[in-house]
Amino acid sequence: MNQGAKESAARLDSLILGLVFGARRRVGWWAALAVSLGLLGLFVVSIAMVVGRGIGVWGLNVPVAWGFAIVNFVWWIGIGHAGTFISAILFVSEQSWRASINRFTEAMTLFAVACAGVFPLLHLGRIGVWYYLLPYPNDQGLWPQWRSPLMWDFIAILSYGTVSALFWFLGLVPDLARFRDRAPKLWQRRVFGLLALGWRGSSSQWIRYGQAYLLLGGLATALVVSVHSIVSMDFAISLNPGWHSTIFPPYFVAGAIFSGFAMVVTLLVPLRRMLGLGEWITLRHFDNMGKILLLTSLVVTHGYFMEAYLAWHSGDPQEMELLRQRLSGDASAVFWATIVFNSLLPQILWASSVRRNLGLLFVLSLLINVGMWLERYLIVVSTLEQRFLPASWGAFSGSFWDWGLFVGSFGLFFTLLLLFVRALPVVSLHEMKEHLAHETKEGGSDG
Amino acid sequence: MGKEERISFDSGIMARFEAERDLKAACSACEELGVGPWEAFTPYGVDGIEKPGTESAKRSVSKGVLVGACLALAIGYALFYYSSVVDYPYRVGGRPVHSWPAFVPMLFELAVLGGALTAVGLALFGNGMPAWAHPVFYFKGMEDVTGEGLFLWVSCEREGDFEQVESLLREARALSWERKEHGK
Repeated sequence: MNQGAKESAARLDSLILGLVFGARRRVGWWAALAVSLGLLGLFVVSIAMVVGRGIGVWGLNVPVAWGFAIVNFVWWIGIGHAGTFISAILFVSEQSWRASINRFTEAMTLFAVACAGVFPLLHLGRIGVWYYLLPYPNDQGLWPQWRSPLMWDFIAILSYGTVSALFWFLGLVPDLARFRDRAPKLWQRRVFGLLALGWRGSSSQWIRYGQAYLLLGGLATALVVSVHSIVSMDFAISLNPGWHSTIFPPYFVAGAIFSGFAMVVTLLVPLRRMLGLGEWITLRHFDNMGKILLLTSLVVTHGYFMEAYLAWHSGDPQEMELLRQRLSGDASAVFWATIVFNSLLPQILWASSVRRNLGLLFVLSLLINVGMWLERYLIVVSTLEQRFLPASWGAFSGSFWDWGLFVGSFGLFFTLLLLFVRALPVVSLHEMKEHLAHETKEGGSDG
Repeated sequence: MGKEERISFDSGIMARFEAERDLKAACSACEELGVGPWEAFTPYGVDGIEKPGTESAKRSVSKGVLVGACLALAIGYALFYYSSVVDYPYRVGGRPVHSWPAFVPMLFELAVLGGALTAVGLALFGNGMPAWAHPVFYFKGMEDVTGEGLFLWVSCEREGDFEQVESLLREARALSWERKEHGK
């Protein structure tokens, strides 16, 4: 490392240590935490209502037996995928720009998966016996039904949550050791010392650590593709019009990365300012994320087009009717909002000036988040409202507790995120130092 | 010398360096002169510190992950087969009880999970962790190893080793060093 890189590394070190150990009062952070805790309260009350009174408090009916719980589940788990994409795929493909944002996005993944995991459990209807999903020898002689997509989901979420947590923790270990060595108070040194597990930074440790991290990145890459493919198969293996389609897995994966990157932008724009990370999370990062948003928007748009084309080309009356309902029927408002937010508006990202305009990017990312939620609403609800026989058609609208759970889940997400940024290193210090050292080498002035 | 935990920290020299290239030069010199065993300590993974056994350590992690993934897959398949074919055969929609295509998505996820658990296990337990107490923590200034400090430990067990290593460190422009002798 040359002198400039060393100074940069020292500045980053003191900034990240200061976020956790500094005495500065952060009014914005406290205000955000207060709002998040309020929403978390709503979430807890909504869960209590569902557990206490049953899922009848939701707007579900016959024929719409899947509602907000499934929409929210798909939406949250999709958001997690951008974190895994950044930490795993960009790591394996040696995109060094990810180093300053991967820790944060990994945390985002973890918390999004935590939110996502709540909904299928509640959707079971009898949360008290959720453990029936576990394969354990029991006195009833029952086993889970492995041919059911519910079990596929359960194992996919279990694997995804566990691997995301492992990936996050493994990346944290050297930085926890940094905190152990710099914490001002004894109890803090003890806590971080315990968590760091005795990391010493020896070359033998780095060799095994680096190899394991690389392999874990490769495995997590497989998860980005497989988890949302499995989620999409919940729909695709059914025979419902609008769901029974081979296009679903790639269409869902692209949508997941699209919505996840939108959430990364939504979170990073204000947090970058709040935490003073402007030097590390630069316009280049937003420019790159803007490009990924544009690319995934085009893939998702292709999915929309193909979905409509295949419905028309199939000549199947149910598929045609569903398409008609979406284009000009009862579902048209949600459908066209989806198209505007997810397909048309992102086209402004062709201009690099837009990709580097944080205000505009923030607003766009919010609209994409809304658009992607509407897309899932369209897939889940509008299909169920109009299946085969017109006599069995019905309408759905979310109840107060449906909305309470959805809005309240932001409370869980943001509370965890805000506690994370004040308790753990929000930027990967060791990766940034390695990145700075590499830059020095490329500049040829080590020493 | 692939494993750090095989190195004795009872007698030797812990040196500190300012620049990566000086540390790397000192490591290479240790190898050439046959002193040591030695171990470098750095705040991030430094490319080019090639210890004997590096490749085999990497290979052992890769093989371990493959074995872990295959094991999870085999256990998963055995569980699915036993529960749905042997212990609780239940026909749904006329499909065979051994509907293996329906097991594939879960088997894939379980293989990834098994591989990931093995990777983390090898990265931690294979690296001698957890180890909340370790001799290297007691050297002066070692708390900087997670910040900006670059350190090199060279074991000195034979007569004359200390002098040879100190001359090597001087040549490699070490900033400072600390001797540790048996029983002191």
